[in-house]
Amino acid sequence: MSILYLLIPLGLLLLAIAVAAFFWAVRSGQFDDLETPAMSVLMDDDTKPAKENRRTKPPPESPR
Amino acid sequence: MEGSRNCYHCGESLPTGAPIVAKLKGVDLPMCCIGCKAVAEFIDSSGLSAFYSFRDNPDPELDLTPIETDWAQYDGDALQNRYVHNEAGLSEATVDIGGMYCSACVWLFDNGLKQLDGIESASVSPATRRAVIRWRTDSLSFGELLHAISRIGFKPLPVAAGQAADEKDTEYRLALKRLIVAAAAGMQVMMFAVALYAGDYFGIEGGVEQFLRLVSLLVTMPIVFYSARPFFTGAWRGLRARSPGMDLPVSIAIFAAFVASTYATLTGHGAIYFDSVAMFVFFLSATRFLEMRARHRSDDHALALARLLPDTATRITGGHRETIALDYICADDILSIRPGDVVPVDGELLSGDLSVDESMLTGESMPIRRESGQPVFAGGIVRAGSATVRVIRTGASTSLAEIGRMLERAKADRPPIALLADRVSGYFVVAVLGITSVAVVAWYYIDPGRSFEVALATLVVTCPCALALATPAAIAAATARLARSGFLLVRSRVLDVLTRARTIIFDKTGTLTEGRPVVLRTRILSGLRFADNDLLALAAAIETASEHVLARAFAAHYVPGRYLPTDVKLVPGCGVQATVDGHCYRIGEAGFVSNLGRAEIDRPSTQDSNSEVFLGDRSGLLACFEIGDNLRADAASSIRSLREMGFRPVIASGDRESVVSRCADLLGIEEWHAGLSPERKLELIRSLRSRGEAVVMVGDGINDAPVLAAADASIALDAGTALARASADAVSLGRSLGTVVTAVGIAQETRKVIRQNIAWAIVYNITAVPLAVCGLLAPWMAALGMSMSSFIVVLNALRLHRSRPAKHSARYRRAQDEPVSKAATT
Repeated sequence: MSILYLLIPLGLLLLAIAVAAFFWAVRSGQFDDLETPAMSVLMDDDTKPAKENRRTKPPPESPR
Repeated sequence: MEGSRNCYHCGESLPTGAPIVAKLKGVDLPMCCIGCKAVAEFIDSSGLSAFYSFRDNPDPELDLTPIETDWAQYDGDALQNRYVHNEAGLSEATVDIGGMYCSACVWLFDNGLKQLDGIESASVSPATRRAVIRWRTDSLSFGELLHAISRIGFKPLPVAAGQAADEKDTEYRLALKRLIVAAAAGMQVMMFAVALYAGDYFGIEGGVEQFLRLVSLLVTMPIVFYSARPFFTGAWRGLRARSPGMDLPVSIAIFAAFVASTYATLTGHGAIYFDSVAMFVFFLSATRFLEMRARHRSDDHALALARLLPDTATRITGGHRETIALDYICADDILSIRPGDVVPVDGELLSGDLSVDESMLTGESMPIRRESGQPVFAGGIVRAGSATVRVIRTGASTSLAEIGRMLERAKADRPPIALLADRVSGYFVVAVLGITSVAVVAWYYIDPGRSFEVALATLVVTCPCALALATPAAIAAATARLARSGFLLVRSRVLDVLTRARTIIFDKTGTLTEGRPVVLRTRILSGLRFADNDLLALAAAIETASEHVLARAFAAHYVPGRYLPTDVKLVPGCGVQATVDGHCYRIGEAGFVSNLGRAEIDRPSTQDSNSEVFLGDRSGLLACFEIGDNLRADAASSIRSLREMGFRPVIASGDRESVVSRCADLLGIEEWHAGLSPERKLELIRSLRSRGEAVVMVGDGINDAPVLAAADASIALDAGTALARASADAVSLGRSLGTVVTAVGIAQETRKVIRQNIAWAIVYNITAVPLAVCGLLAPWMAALGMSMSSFIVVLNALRLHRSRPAKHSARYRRAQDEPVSKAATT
């Protein structure tokens, strides 16, 4: 059982990293709007102008 | 088809006359004006036309018509300093985006802006419709930025730097962080607790056990010191105000359990309650988080009043016009006002005459004519005419600002209303603390060694979590469900008031009625050769030329190409004269129309309840159109349902007596009051309330705001202005009154659930407390009992999320669906 002495601190480290990542995400405003991003996947269709912006991810292939 | 009659961009009904058409993706689509055409073509050419397929249907009340403003003004020093923050080559400004009503708008805004050169970042919150934009100062000016926003069809309203700091955002983010810490750390603590409980049963190595306890202590620390902080500060505030709330026993329980567990961990003896602490904090934070979000959603327009006013005004000095910031306008300056402007100051007309829509100030649904020498008030919207105005009062001394202050006073005047749970839990708090101290003292004499353990068990087991958790959870669940049915709660006490109020007061204009002019009735006087519809179409064709408000009522009856008026003459204040198919017609005021045929004004019996427009030719008067404000489609059925639910409906309107009485007749409402000023409405509510009745007020418009604030619960229909929303306790988003009925149903259900929970809490506590006080419960049993109890009540509360619509709402769902499905075919 002495492996616990290693694994639990390791788990706590992961926890700390996860919480830190979450804090960063909250601070950068990713949780401010929980509705529009869901729509934007649907809306990034092929009529997108040639000038691709950097901030949005490339549109996924439309599953047809 | 509606699609061919409404503007493709903004949904306004199409004007008559030569059609305006925009070619989008090779398809000709109808537009209501050049502005919409420009916006739609710009959106299409930017490759953003997906906007049209994903947006919700625009609210017809929403004015999406683009505005013309001299955006370069915003590059001047005065406005630049107020709105723009410059730092290291980057500029930042906060801008409220008018005309944004759905997710597709947010998408359009984001993508439209990203095509501009020099934008660093632009983020907009659809809930607040407020955008924070950062751009490179050298490649873009503020004016250009605002112009670009207006080009994609929104109305940018810059927010002064001081107001930009959004407290709500900060509160939301902090609460979210606290919640996630409680959740993540809590899960770990629970996992260790499972290991420890299992160890109790099956045996565990002493070293591992102590290690797990130490780790639990470590992981619980952020929960207690970070996530649970709001409870401690709340308890402290309650203590200082000498009115201990639920936060006090919650804090004592958390803190005592934590201290005792820490002590047990460090000494290696005794039970630990870290799992209970973690779970407790998480559940409480979660429900409070849900409640906070629900509260924030419709609370964002609190300071909207001053922002009704424009930033700039056109001043005339020595025959020379200049556009300057409103701040620099002083009394006795001469301003020029054009159609579409919002009157920026209180003043006096020097020349010209205006048709001013003062519904923001007075609630009067029809625009008012102002001639030279008459006063105009800040906040009025100029519908037609242009004029010069001498400034009398500006800024904080305008009547608009006065209404704002009145609103504040009315808000402060509000009596404290406690929710049922609050009342019960108030006693509970005292009882818990009392019983615990009695137990401590008693056990000090019986067995001093067990005194602390018993006290803790008592405190934990009686921990009022059933109340503290379940009531907010029930309210949050009800809030969420109400939001889904188009009813946003701003203050949760509405739920309480809706279940016990017996009087419901309605404003008329925009509440029971649609709030815009339509042709109610056509009375044929001598135009027998025409069918009703033909007369309407003829009138509509002639009225195309007119900008008058009453003329707008005809727009819906226009048949393109049917009648082609020529030789059109506008006679201001009287009407229009035009020739159609060789006949000369006049439409407008009775005297003017009858003059054409020199006929006697043979006025048919008028009810004087609505405005009348006459149509006539050389032979005399042909028809009379009654123009008025239609009742909302579901007004009658909603009133009937509210009656069935035991409400007494009352109309309190600022409108004329004849109009109000007819409306009351149609709806079968016996009690109505007409011609009430806001002050009189306040008095009415106060007198009803002094009789001990709980009063619900349903209204819209700024003049209602103080009245809304004085009622026990107030509901603003969305057609109302932003400020009415800010002062109301709830906002109905739907365009129907049916949501109010639905809300009453949900409120009744919520009260039932809250009562069930409280009943459970009483039964549970009456059973558990004696056991704990007698020392029959180990603290871990107490913690488990408490957890189970909270689970039960929370699950019961969350039922509100799911349950079927109340019996009354089904009918309204149908009534509401109808116009929606019609609109969906466009």
